[in-house]
Amino acid sequence: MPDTPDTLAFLNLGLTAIAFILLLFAVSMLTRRRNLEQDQRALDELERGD
Amino acid sequence: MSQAIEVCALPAERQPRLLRLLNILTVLALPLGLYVALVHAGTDASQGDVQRLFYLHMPSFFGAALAFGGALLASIAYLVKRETCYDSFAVAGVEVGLTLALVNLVSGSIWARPIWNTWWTWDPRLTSAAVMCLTYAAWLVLRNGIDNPQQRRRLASVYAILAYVTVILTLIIIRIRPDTIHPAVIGPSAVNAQGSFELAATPGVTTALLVNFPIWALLLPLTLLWHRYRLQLRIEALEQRKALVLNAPLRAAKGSD
Repeated sequence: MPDTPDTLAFLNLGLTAIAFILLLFAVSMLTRRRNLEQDQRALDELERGD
Repeated sequence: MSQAIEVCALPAERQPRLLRLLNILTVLALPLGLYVALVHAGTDASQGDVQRLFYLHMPSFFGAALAFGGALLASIAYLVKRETCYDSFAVAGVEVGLTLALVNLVSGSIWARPIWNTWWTWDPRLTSAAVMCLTYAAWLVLRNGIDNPQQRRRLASVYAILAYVTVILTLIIIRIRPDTIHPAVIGPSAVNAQGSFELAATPGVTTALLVNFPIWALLLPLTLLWHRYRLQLRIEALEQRKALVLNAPLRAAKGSD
């Protein structure tokens, strides 16, 4: 029976890639939320100025 | 037919109780699923540790199919009812679906390197999965490229309905193309399939799949969808407010004439 191949490095690479993709999505959501809040504050100021 | 657009209510700042429950469940379930996949399940004798990627690879495809399915239903609902919240849900569905489809595609490619001895091959299943990702990526590009909001929502809805064909094709292609080398987990694999494994051959495989499937195919997509939907509702509301505030001086000048 052949030995089990050592593919641990590929497992680690796969898990890192999955974490990176999910993290990228989460960061993009947080960034858009922050931009939204900034825009809301700017609009509030603009309305107060009128 | 009336072209009136219904504006959706802005979500409350505080998250609903069910969403907070989903947040907690997802945060607890993800490490539990990883523990079962990485520690509890035995090592596959012919593939080694890389086979453990399968517990995330397969369910993430079904998570993507669920999110794209949500976009499909929301698009149909938008075309029927013309309410912007359905369009917002379609945006959430496509973005979450694309994220999970990329998880599926990238993890599959990394698994393939030691098992098929290549990162990528133009196999029918791999090609259809790549076409699916590109189709939905193009949806995002198309949507951002149209300025008129009504036209943008209408075209995006029609596109999202048609795009679901790529999801169905990716799902069934290993059953209808005997030349694929992609193994099937449920039912017999194609004769050329490489990298198949028996669910019963390694201890803990079935448990790891049963634990990770609901997490990656249901819990994670639903939580992400809800968060993204809430954000999109706020973005749409802000866009409408921006238009009102920035056009106010113009309207005032017209009124004084």
